[in-house]
Amino acid sequence: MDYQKEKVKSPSITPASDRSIMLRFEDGISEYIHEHVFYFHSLLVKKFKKKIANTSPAYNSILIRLADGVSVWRMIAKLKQLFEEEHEISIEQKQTVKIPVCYDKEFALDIDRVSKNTKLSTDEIIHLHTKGKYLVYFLGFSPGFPYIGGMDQKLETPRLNSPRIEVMQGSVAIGGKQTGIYPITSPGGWNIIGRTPLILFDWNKISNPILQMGARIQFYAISHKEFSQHQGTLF
Amino acid sequence: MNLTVIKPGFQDLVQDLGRDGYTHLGISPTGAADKASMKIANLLLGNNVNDPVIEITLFGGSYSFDCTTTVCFAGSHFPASIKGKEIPFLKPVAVKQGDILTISGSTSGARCYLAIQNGFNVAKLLESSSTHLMSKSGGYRGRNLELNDRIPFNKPEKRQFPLDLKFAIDYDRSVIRATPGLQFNLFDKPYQELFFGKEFTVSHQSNRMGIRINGPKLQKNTSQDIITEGLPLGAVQVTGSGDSIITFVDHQTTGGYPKIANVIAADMHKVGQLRPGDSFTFEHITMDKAESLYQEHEAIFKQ
Repeated sequence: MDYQKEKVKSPSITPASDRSIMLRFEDGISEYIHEHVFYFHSLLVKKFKKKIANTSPAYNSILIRLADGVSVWRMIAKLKQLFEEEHEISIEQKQTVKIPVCYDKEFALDIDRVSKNTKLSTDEIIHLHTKGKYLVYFLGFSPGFPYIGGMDQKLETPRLNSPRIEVMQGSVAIGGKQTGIYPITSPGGWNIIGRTPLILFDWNKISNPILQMGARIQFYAISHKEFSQHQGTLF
Repeated sequence: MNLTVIKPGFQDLVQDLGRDGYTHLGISPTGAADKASMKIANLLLGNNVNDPVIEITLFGGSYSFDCTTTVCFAGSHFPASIKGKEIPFLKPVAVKQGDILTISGSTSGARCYLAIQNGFNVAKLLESSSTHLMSKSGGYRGRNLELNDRIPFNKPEKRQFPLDLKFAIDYDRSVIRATPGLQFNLFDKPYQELFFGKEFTVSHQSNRMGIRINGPKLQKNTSQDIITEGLPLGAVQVTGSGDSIITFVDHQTTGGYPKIANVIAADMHKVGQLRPGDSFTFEHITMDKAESLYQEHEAIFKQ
């Protein structure tokens, strides 16, 4: 466990709509900003439980959607008050979670496209992708979808020109500078390079999703046989 | 006690007021597209406002009841009949065991709501009965109602219906009021004026995730992309090709398109009534005005 203490810069706080408020920290994407988002997200949810209907933490912002009847302006005043107090950002560093991925052609529908774009061989792509240490910045887009940072920029590949109507659950993919996993079958426009046999989103276990905000992850390659053995295992 | 689908409509969905509290996990709240009409249908039956209803979009089908109960319609007008006799909207209507309810195409906006005494009774998912189409979960089997589906409903009891309730809801879809969005200033004045001046037309490619609207092409004044952030309900996103999309109930929880405006809460029910081909303009409203309109709108349901 590792804790860090420091004085905190207040975010800008503005109405996003007549029913929501945007908190923006510094511009940019970094682990430093992420820690602010993580810390204040937990604090806000705890402190204003009855006033907040739901939240969307992201790279450098937190969107707060208000509960019925709560006034935007009154809530903004309360938030400003909160940020006038002193805060110590303390983040509990999480253990790295290892996620098995089968990079076989059967699942890696776009690995040739990535290969052509990056001028790397399939083996080199797998090597770079499994070597990386990743951070789940937040979940967004669709149920359980992790926005993951830390991909080797040599793997950068533009998104598909037209998204697929259906990307299979567990698909591991590259979209621009980011890598991601599709926890449920959904539409998607990223380059699919493999698939994990594990179930990463389950409606019955949402309070403890393995791919939660702040999770540290790493991928490791498995064979097709191992994929079949693990298939459908709940993480 | 069941309602059986004899002929499905275009998109019949079990909905309630939605599943709040999970957007941080990427789970959008969903819920009725026009929550005002859904509440009215429930209140006229003396139900809880959140009791599950069936949302009917563009045209309905035929449905039979295996038990006597009372239903109520609200929202856009869809001609509906039992045994050839037209049934009224905004009034409790008794249905008998064996009755077949037939609903045809809307004569006005996109949706109407069929509420039933004490609500439809489907298993709750995270405390809500709303259908989450993207993940094929919640509601009735996570999908539109199909032929021979049997939707359970709760037992009715003898009840005095509140006949004196009146709801002053504006359903005019030609003007939709909006506040400036989070990235309003990323659009130069001429584009802001185009947005709040020109007419938009609802595209056929609209759904519960987003209402695509065709109108003036808009362009932000920077080539830099914005960093992905949370999406408020009703946010008008401008895509890279300059097209506008109104973020709707089944929306993705975060996104990276700039948001030029945001439909006010008091007009979100109108968005739920927009149908392909509808033309409208956005009216600029300040945040202060939007908030007082919201409070007035909410007061309508507290009689």
